[in-house]
Amino acid sequence: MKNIKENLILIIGLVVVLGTHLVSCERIPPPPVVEPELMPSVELSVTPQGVIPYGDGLDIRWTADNNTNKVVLKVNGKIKETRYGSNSRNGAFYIDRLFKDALVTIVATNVNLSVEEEKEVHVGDWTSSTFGLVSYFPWKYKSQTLSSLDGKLLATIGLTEKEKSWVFYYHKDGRLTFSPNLSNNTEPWYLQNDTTMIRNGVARRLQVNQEEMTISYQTTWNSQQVWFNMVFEHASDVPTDPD
Amino acid sequence: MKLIINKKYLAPFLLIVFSVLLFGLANNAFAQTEIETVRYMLELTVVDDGTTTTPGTGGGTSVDDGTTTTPGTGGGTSGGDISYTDGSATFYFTYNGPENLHPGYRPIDCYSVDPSGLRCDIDLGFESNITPMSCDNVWDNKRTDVVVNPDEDGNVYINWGADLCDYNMPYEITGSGSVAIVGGSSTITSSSDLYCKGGMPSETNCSPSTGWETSSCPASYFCPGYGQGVSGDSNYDEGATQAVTFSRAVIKDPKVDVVGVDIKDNNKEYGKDKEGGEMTVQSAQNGKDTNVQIKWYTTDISSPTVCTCNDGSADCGSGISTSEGEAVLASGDGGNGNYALTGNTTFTVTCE
Repeated sequence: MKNIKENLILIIGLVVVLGTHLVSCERIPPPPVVEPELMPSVELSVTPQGVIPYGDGLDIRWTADNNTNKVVLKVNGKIKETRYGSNSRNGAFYIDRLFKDALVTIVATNVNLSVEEEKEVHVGDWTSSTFGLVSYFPWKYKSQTLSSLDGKLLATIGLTEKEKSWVFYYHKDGRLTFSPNLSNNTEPWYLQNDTTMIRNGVARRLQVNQEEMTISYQTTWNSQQVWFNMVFEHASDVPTDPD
Repeated sequence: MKLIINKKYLAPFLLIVFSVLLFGLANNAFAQTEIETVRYMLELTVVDDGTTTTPGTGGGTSVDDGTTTTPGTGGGTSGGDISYTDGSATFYFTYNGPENLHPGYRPIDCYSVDPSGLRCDIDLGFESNITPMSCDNVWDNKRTDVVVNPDEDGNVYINWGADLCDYNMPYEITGSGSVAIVGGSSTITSSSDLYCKGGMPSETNCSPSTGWETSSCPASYFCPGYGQGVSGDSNYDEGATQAVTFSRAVIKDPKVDVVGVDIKDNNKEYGKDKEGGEMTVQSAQNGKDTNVQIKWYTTDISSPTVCTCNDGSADCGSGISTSEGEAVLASGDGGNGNYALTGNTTFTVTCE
């Protein structure tokens, strides 16, 4: 029994000695290898390309790679908040209306490394779109006429001095306002297409060029169906809205 | 879906149904605001220049006084009107209510909507430390209201009973504008297969008080207490935000201005607005040569109101200006389009 006790003490002593040796022989792990930061990349596209008509919209889309942790969109140097947030590698942004040239920049960042992609967007002048022709300058009555449905002039309706003095302002933001001698009201307007204007919720035929705008609706006159045409000319060479 | 009503609740249930029906009828009557008749007359005196012998249409007496023209004062009346549509009022809303349990969090957030509306985004199932005004913990299909209740001073009070308790959440309105008083209400359609994790679902009822109308009210439900999402419809789960939009009515001043154009006298105008209700023109040669064009402009009049023209003997067209400054042309006489008047004629445009 005594021998067993002595052997047990010997064994425990050996284990302690060997354990101490084992610990002291354990290799110190090498420091982790720091991999170099990878350059992110991003693709930027804008639609439509080329010169876009005055007041048209712009679709901006981007796709960044897996080395990207943050994406920031800038238009003319100003950061645009997108609904995807800056952590999303893919995103899109839509600008409703552009009235002048724009520089679209997308910045993709990994940690410290960043890459920028830029696209220049060129916008045509006010004559490049129906929207521009309608909204750039204010209008006043030039004449009122009646024409047949096939376009033949039937009659000219007299315009009084008061009617000629009214001024109509088609603002770029979709408001239609008037000179105070006509009304203080504000009405909504927009173009359904190049030949139809929705004014105050009602559709009217539209014909417009750089000098004249004609807004028409059908009515009964002299027992026949005719176009009643309200013809406008520019009331001023001062733009309705500042650039 | 089966509807089981305990007998002891039958009488109160029927009473509530009857009351709701009466409330709806009363509000419908409010909503159908009648438009006052607007009428404007243009009296035309036809001057015989000595070459015409054809008696005129429309009655009246021809006056041979040379070339005198006599603009008169306008006739007819314009009445006040109330419209639900756009206006120029601008309002700003400031939350003046007590803080929620979650600092900075607003269970209901209201802001202005152009041109004169109020939109409230409501977080369903919010948790509040606001002392309730009253609390009814009867588990019942109680209709709980979201009531936007602006007073005459421009304060908005919103009562919201997400846990079947009523709270006051005052919002202060500042700003100015031309507003009028209308009534209106909204009824939410019921939804089936909705159930709460606890308690019974309640239905929101957007009830604008006097001076407001409901522009949009979601058919939304909520469950009593915080965190009790509605199952069965993901739109109404916990955390969903529903928007209720109210609009202020704007006073409008409907009027119709009849314009007579003297074709032979450099398009002189009479009758516009209050400046003239009478005009004198040379008699038509042989009763055929047109001498007058008649048109009118309406302001603040919209469909279904109809403006009709009558020259004393027959209709002379109808229509409204759908935009400011948009002319409506009289239909003209049968042969010439314009009018060849040889006798005094009164053109009356009536909008009703």
